Amino acid sequence: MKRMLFFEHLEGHGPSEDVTRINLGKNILQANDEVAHEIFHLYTDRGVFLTNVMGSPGSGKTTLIKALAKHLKIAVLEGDIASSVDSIEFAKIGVPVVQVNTDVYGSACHLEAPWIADKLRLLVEYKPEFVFIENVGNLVCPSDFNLGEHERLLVYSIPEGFDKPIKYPPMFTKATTVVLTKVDLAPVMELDIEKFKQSVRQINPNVQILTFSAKDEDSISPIVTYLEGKRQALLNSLSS
Amino acid sequence: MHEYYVAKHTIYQIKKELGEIDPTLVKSVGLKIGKMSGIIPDALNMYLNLIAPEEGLTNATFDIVLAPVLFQCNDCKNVFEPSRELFWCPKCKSSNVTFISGNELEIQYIDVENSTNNNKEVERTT
Repeated sequence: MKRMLFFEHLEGHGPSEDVTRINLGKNILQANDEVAHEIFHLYTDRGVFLTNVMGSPGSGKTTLIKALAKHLKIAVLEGDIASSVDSIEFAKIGVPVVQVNTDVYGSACHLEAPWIADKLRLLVEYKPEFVFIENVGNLVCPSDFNLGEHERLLVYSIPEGFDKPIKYPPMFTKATTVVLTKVDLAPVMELDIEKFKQSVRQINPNVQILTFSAKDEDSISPIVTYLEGKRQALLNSLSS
Repeated sequence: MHEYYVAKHTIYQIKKELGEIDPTLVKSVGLKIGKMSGIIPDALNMYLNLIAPEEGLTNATFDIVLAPVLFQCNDCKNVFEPSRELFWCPKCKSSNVTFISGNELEIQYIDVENSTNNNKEVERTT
């Protein structure tokens, strides 16, 4: 009888009589999301804009962040399965950077909030205005893991083709911004950028789509302006 | 690819919910996985069955229910499940649509066997 009382508020329908059902409806990734939530509040309170940069290997995530580093006060958390190749690049240009290698977590194909929380707490002490998390190169897995970011920026390069938004919808539906890179290759690849933008908007109408080419230094300006605007909105929300 | 990690999280979360309840008493666990979550149900089930016994859930089976992907049309408010390639509204053909659900990664229920052994746990908690 006592047992029934204890589980009364959790009691559901369906299970056989020798079984007590605990109804939950809880997120499997709750442990991850709790840490992410904490990071989100830390960054929000400090007025530091946190961006989770995702995309396939070779899509140009590092190149984009390096171009942004020339215009913004940034720090970077590098996520890779192995090596420090990218973080050395950032260290060379004087950007505060922390490398996270997922080979210690079974060569994971994504980053999880508890793995990087300490590093993000460290990076915020460098007093940057923006912190970029460069996720492990992958167009599927990182999309499931919230890292406490303000912006989910998907880097997608022209040579990947026009059909990926419908082939890999999880990433495209969860992104808040898509940066199309290597746009100088569009004529070679015979890819219509406007058509591509439409196909992304079909599954995610609210997404911001920007273009970038590393060959054209001016092409970074709209992205810089866009991110500065986003951070300003964050600061305004803090003061109001 | 990340089913192993989701399986690890699942077992961790189940054990946290169980608290003092003996994990061997768990008979079945209901999971709800959205079709847009990027998880392959069979792969998740395989990892769960590998990890669960190691973590003491020796009698547990996992019932995975797939949740549909749902979009809503912003023009005619129709809620629909998109076909594999077309994400626009089947009713008014508008492409102005918003993703509603399909990302779920949820533990819906845990069925625990009633046993005289765990009465003491209940008494302690009440």
